[in-house]
Amino acid sequence: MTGFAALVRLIVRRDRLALIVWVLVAGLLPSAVVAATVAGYPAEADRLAFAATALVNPAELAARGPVFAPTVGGLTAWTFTSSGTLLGGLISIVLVVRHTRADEQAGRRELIGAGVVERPAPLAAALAVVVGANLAVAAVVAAGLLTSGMAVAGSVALGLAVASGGIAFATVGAVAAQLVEGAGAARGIGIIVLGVAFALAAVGDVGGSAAIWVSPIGWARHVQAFADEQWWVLGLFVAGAAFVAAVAFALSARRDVGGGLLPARRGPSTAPPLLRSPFALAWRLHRASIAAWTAGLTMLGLLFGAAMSSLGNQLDTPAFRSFADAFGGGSVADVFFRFVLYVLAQVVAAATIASAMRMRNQEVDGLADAVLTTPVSRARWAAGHLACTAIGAVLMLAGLGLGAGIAYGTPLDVLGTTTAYVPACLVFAAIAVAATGWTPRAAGVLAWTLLAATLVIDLLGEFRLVDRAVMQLSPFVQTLQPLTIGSGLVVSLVLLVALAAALTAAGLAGLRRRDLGT
Amino acid sequence: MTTVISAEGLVKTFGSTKALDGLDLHVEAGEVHGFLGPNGAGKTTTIRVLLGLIRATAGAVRLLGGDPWTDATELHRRLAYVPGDVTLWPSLTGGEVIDLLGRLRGGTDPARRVELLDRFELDPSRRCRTYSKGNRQKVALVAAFASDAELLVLDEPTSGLDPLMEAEFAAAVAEERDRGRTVLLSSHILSEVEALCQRVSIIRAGRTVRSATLDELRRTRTTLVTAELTGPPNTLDRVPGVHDIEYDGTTLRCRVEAEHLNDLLLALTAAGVRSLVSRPPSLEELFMAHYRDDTVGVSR
Ligand SMILES: Nc1ncnc2c1ncn2[C@@H]1O[C@H](COP(=O)(O)OP(=O)(O)O)[C@@H](O)[C@H]1O
Ligand SMILES: [Mg+2]
Repeated sequence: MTGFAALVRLIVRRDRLALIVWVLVAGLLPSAVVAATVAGYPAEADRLAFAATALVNPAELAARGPVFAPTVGGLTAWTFTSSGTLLGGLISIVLVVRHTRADEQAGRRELIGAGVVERPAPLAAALAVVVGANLAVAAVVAAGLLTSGMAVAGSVALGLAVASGGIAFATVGAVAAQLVEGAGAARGIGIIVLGVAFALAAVGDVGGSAAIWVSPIGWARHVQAFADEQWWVLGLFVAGAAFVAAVAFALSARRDVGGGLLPARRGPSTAPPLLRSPFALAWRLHRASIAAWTAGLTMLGLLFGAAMSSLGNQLDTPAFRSFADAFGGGSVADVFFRFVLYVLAQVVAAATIASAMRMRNQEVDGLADAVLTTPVSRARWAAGHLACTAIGAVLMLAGLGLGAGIAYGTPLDVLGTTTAYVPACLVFAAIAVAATGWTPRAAGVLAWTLLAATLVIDLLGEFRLVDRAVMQLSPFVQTLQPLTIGSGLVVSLVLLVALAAALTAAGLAGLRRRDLGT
Repeated sequence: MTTVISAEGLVKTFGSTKALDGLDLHVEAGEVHGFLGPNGAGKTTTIRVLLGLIRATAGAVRLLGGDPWTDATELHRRLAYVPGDVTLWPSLTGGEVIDLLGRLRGGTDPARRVELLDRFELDPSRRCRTYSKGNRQKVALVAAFASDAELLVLDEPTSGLDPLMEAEFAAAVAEERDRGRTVLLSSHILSEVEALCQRVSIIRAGRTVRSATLDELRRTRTTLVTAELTGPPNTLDRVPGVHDIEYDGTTLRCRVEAEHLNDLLLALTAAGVRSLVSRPPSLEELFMAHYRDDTVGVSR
């Protein structure tokens, strides 16, 4: 296929960093799970007790499937398979769409198409790279597990199960990219299929029904790594992925470059009456991601709440009890729940940074110019976006709290706990805004690095590797501590809000005085 | 006549790049002013200074009687802008963008909107992500033409349009001119400017090299003369206003400024003329000369 090799090189070149990070992180995660399992459940009796409760907990069954063997390997496979497949599937969909439909939409495909490249080469190259990366994940998983002293068959099976899941969704992404004209819509279709596959696996494993056999996530679970491996299930993956890939190539041969098979959806030819202000425009741009994040976090909250309410027994091991004491004391389940919410609040902070950076993205894409050459001041334009960021943070944390609280049985308490993190999240949004005003080109890197540094410090702090005084710098610690002690929350929150307001004001001042679009 | 745009000695540096290097630009109310220059000359940078999106490093700028940087928001009530590289919100439809921009500017004429959509053959119900470059440009043009702004700032507005649409665009600009609106039209295509503009400013490497009406440009250009002579024209180099003299056997080619044509003819007849052809250079040659930074065809 003419042009195939050159395109593969191009894709690898463009994404080498992301590919390396993905392969290493996803590949080494199972080894970390092994270490955690050995530490958390050292005795066989602990593992048996854990497996027994996991097998009767619907939330655990839905999210991870059954525990096939109460061994270190079996629990590692149980912990990693579903999330590893989801992660690999998501990345695979995004990458395939990025190098097929997104390129076409941006007009880059036409440049390539005019050169010496055969028609199916771009799709084949994108799939080849993503399949290769998934296999690399499998190799790193197996190598890491072998190094941790795990059995050969199970190590290889777990690696291949997760990689096969990724490959299956890569082919789904390839088909989606043929169907619609927009890369966003193609990604959306892929992610919906991923969600449906997860739901089918969940329903199948909770009810013990055959639904698992129509879902690649179900297949990955039922490879049964480290528990009498079912190698034939990998055959399902090979057949399924080959079939779906063939469909993608057939569709690609039947359509025009740039065209889709499903007609692009039309929209209203006039604007709704409310679309008349910078805020209304910003809301249009933010609302889909706010809705998706809120829905996702609410579901996650429900799942965790349900899991926690029945987790008391599983968690009551000496290792976890000492963890709970280190973390403020109380019942192990309560402490663990508080900790999970704390981590999820940090996820919300990441979503909030992404939302705050949308302003800068609009500027770089030239979309700020369109608004700012009408009688709208820079401050008013920015205020529209930042209001959406703040609303988003509140909705996401409220969704998380309501979901978790309803499932845990104490809706208002948990809602109060999660929404207490709103100021902490806004501080990170405000850091992004300040950087957008004063060092626009480094804004994203700066905000994300500060969040990452905070998370690392928090993490090291849990293990007493960082001084307490340093930990006090974290807005999350500033929220968690008063929540744990039960006093001083108001003062903390007022201070955090004041900090966020000051940073935002500084950012807006910088934005007013600098050149736009540079 | 009132001055709508006046820029003097504009300098803009981006790090070590000097995008504008002492640029002058004057636009009077009611004129369609051509802003010509090769790629990278500084047209977009000038326009972004005029719109208050970036601040000039040095120089004096006035726009509609105000300071484009400090009075940006107020001034934008009175102008509409079409960027050279139109990007639109992918999830909004073309019609939504036109309405939104119109409302932000303070209202659109609905009848004019319908007429313009029809004229530019634009489907307003498509999402912007599905539009080609030309169609995105049409969205921005419809939004600008449908506004009642007194100044239109158009940055290479036809770069993505097909010839039929270019003609529609030209007709629309002519109508705006007749309505008394002021238009600043940046372009690197001469024919477009020649058909629409009364005055042009030609810039190169961030500096204005010529600002004149098209008539002035036509009048002041030189004439190309080709003559076959019977003898050697000994006295030619002493005739003033003659440039680029070339001999090819007995054939002479040269360029002469209008006011010295008579002197040249006298010198030629003294040498003996067998045949003579003279023609003015096209505007195209004139502009190319400005672009190339030599002085062919340019009399100063
Ligand atoms: N933001 C920027 N940073 C660095 N250089 C720039 C920037 N914007 C424009 N330039 C440079 O300034 C010069 C003029 O550019 P521009 O105004 O876009 O020209 P034109 O619109 O006439 O094609 C070019 O050399 C360009 O590379
Ligand atoms: Mg330009």
